[in-house]
Amino acid sequence: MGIVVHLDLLLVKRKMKLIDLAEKVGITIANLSILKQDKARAIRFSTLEALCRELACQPGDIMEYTPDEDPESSGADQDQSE
Amino acid sequence: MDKSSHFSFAGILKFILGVVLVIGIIWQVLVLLAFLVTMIDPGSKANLFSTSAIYSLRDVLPAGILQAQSSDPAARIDAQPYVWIIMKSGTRGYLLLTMIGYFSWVGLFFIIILQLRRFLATVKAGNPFCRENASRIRTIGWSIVAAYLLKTAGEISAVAYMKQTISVNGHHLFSQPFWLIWEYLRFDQLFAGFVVLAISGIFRLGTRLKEEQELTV
Repeated sequence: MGIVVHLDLLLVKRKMKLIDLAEKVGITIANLSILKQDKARAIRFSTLEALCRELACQPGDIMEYTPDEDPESSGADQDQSE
Repeated sequence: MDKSSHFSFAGILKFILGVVLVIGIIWQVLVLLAFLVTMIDPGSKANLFSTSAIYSLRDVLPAGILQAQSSDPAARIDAQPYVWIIMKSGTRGYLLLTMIGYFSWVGLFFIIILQLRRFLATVKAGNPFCRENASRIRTIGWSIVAAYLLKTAGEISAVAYMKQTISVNGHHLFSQPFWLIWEYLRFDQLFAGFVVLAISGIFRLGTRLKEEQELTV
């Protein structure tokens, strides 16, 4: 699983559309869609800061870490962290 | 240099390669027809498969009229004093071997042109860093290496054939083995192939960086 993004839930809670959020944050809707669909490889701190500002939340509200269910891949992750 | 000049240069180069490809295909079809005629009648005028031995004149006495002989009964020698000896081989086996090597080399040449045209199309579109281009450049690199090996093998076999069968004024051609190595075992084309293979690695890395950059929010 890894990092899971809850942007869609936050948008519903704040009653905001993706296109409006993209305009306020200053990134394209295509890029924001990448984040929303969990396809992003990285996020800039500037983008994260803008998201937190516009959604009035903390970074942990936008994303959370979920350990992988597969024991082999979790073993590989442990090796990488070492 | 701005983007538009890159793209127009790629477009012009792609067009030139396209012209070379079309002319090359037409020419090779004619060569293939000549080869087929020659296989049927080696003595015909369609026999284009001559081997020039101009370099051999350095190690034979140039004075006087050259008397060239061949131990290959199927070969015909046309000797031009002080210029070169043109051997038109009628040996079918040697011809077939030559043509296999020749068309293999031509095939690799066409592969290189086709891959290069597809690569230039992506450059023209402004998207050169993609997985397909890394693969194309790798194909070009290996084709250059393979073409070099084929060319070298063909030239060495041709020299070996002439060395055994042709003599001028009683001297056998290519009598100096060092000359053979120096003239034919040049590594510049092989080096070029390795350079292109290294560049394909750079494109692979560039593609990965581009994908990561595109997926960075």
